[in-house]
Amino acid sequence: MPRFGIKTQITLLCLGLLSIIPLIGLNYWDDIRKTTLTAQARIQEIEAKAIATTLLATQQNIRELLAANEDSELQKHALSAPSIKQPIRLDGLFGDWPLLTNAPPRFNLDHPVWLAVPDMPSETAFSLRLAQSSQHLYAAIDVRDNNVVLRKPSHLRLDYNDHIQLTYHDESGALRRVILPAEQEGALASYYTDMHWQYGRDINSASPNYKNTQNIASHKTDIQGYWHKTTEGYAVEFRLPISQLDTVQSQIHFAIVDIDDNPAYGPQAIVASLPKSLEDKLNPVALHARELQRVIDQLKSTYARLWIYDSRGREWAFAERDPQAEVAPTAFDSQCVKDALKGKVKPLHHMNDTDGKLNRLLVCYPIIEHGETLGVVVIDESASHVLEQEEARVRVITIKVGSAISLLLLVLLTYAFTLVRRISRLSEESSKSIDLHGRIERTTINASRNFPDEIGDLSRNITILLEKQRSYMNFLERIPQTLRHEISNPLNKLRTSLENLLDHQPYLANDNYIRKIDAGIDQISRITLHLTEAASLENAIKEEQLIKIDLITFLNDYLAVWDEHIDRTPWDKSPAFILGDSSRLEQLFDKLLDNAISFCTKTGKVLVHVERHTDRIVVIIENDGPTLPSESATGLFSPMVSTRSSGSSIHLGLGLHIAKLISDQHKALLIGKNREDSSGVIFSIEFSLIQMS
Amino acid sequence: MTYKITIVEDDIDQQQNYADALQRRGFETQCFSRVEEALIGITNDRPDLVLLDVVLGDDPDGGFTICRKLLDRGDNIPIIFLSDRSDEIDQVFGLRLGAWDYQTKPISLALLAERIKSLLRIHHARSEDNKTAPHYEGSGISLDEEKSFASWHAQTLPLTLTEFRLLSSIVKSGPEGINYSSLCESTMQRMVTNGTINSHIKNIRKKFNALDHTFQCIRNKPGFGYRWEKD
Repeated sequence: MPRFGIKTQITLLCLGLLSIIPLIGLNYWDDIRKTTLTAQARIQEIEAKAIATTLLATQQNIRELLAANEDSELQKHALSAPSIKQPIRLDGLFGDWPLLTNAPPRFNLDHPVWLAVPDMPSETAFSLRLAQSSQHLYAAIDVRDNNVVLRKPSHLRLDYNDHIQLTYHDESGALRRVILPAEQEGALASYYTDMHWQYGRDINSASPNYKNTQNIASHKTDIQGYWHKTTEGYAVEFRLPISQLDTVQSQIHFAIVDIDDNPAYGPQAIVASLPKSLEDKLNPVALHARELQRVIDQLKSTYARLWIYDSRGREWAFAERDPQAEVAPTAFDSQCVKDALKGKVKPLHHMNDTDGKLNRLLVCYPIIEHGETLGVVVIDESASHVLEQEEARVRVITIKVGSAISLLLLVLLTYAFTLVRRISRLSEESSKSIDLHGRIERTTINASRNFPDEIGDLSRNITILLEKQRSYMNFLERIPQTLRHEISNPLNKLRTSLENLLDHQPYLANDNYIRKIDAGIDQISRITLHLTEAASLENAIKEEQLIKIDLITFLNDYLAVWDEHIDRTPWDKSPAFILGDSSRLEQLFDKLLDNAISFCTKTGKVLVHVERHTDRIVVIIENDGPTLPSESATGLFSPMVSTRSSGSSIHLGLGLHIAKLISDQHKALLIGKNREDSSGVIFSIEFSLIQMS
Repeated sequence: MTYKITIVEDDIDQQQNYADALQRRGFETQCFSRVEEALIGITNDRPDLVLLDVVLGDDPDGGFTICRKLLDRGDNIPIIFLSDRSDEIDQVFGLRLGAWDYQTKPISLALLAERIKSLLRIHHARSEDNKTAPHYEGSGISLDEEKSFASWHAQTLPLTLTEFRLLSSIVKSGPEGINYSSLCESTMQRMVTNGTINSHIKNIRKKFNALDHTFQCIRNKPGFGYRWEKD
């Protein structure tokens, strides 16, 4: 099973938690969308209602603004000035004007104001387009005139040439007359003038009729425009600041004065934007009312679009958040507005796109005074914008929460890793406190010892445990010695008593029971001797110094004594030097060979062979016979552990323990294992060779 | 001549067994089981040899105490420790106090008697202060069997009786060597293993090396025993 460390587990856990958060967020996003759109619609509704109420409460002339009480005949000639987003380039070319649903109104001799020869047909006509931005009223006039008479530079008078008469109410409600003479291709000249339409007048004059003012030679209006000669006549494109117009009674009038031949004879024809019957009137034009505009301008950053329509559909105010956006969808024709104008207070309309997906939230709230619906406040919002905003908010929240969680996880991760490192150190130090054979080398664990937490408790508890264990181990280690001490005296009593008995009664020497007693005492004596040997060996070998020994020579000499019990495979006779103690090596091989011979089957063999390597030499002792139980090496070489039974011989389990102690003294690797075919056991001792220089 | 042997042993049975065995072999014995009574008894009736157990009653080092006091007052009495304490440190401590030998239980009474006789003979030889010719001499080693004296290049080797016997056996075996079994016999102990022999040889080597750090004449014959190889 692959090992999963705590660090890996914690890391995976954190990654899991981090991945769950977005999944939960995604699950909630649909709910958030619905809630957001519902809330937005509700807010729009409240806002529209608030605007309507505010208008009624604060705009004293709201009725005047919105009430549809104008002359119905004049209303027929009302001019439309749709809102535009982009400024129009004033170049006399009308290509950049927004496409109109209907053709621009055209004025010709159907509305003659003046004809020099009343019954003579005249080609004079003009078409007029108006548009309004938040700042300007734009006008585009395309005049048909076969004979364009330009103003001569020497003429002070402005009416000796083709010209356009423009009339409107200024911001103070005063009537303004502006004459736009045909001068030359290029910048449009414009002059304030008086009711005679002859000379330019100074607008700063106190008198609206400019009677006392001087004629002026250059135009002083704020009209910017362009005069352009066309194949059929000429075209004029200009703009007028809306701030200079009366937006309460927003009216404007255009008249084209066609001068042919001798100007002194007067105009050939005058074509106006109103018929002769209404020549004292101005065309109504639906300019945005400043008072209403101010109200909704304050909200234009909040909503995509806001309109205030009167009951006739005139757009009195319009504001939008993003003037750069595409053409604003109109709202007046919507069912929402129609319902509102009927006084139905069911303002919310969801407008879906062709895919059926909600794309607009349209709220229309009627402006009702004394039971009469004066107009309607329309608030339009893009669903995608609302959701984008919400997404942005959610994204910010998510980033903040995610960052906070990540930071928290990072802190927790760091802390967890610190704990893991402390646990690892504790584990490492704990492992090092016990050697390969399970002996306690030290009892004090320093890792986390001074920490006042659970790991510190664990460290201190391990120290206490090790101290107790060492005490117990000391007790166990002293057992053989103590046992020998305790046995020695009674054994000596038995031995000396038996000897005295046999001295007194020598005939008992042949007694079977006496012999058995003697043999038993000898056996116990050997046991105590072995116990002593094992107990004292560990201390004895600590002080012994190893010297350079030729292991090959040693083995050849040593094994000669064992030749009748073992088989040897020939090996290289060249010296192999190790650091060792010959008497201890003798003891080591005595134990292993004794072991091998005692466990070898009667017909089996004990085989000794040597494997030589560049830097090490391995002595292998094999014997046929019973196999080792599948125990760990620690168990195999532990004292007082006998893994196999071999009849009547003494097996205290000290032989392999002593062999292991001596192999450790020689820094040799002693391994015991079963043959692969389970026919016997193999013990190998691997010594490091001394490199002879 | 009848030699008087003092036996100091807190176990009455063992004490009696030692006494019976020695008396049967012609020794006169006096027995004590406590430190104070032993010191008084030895003072009043000076023995020729003292057998001391180390642990006497509640006193774990009672035998050592008696040994030290006897030798401190100049009594040149051969002392043999008979103890169940078989640790090397105990043996070394006892021998350094001035004991002639240290035997660990269980012991053989017959061998003990032989050892006592041998020690008394050696003690007698040494106390006569007559110079005797060494029984063996050559290549720096000199052995006086009678006094159990060994010297290396005229420097005395402070060997115990057992160590002297082992060294003597090895030196006499020469390059051919002597096997473990013969060496065991020469210790005059009943239960001796190869490990015990090896331990004694290590001690002998240490004593040689204290005089001559280049000493390497005692050579191991792996699996067989030891041999003496001249420089």
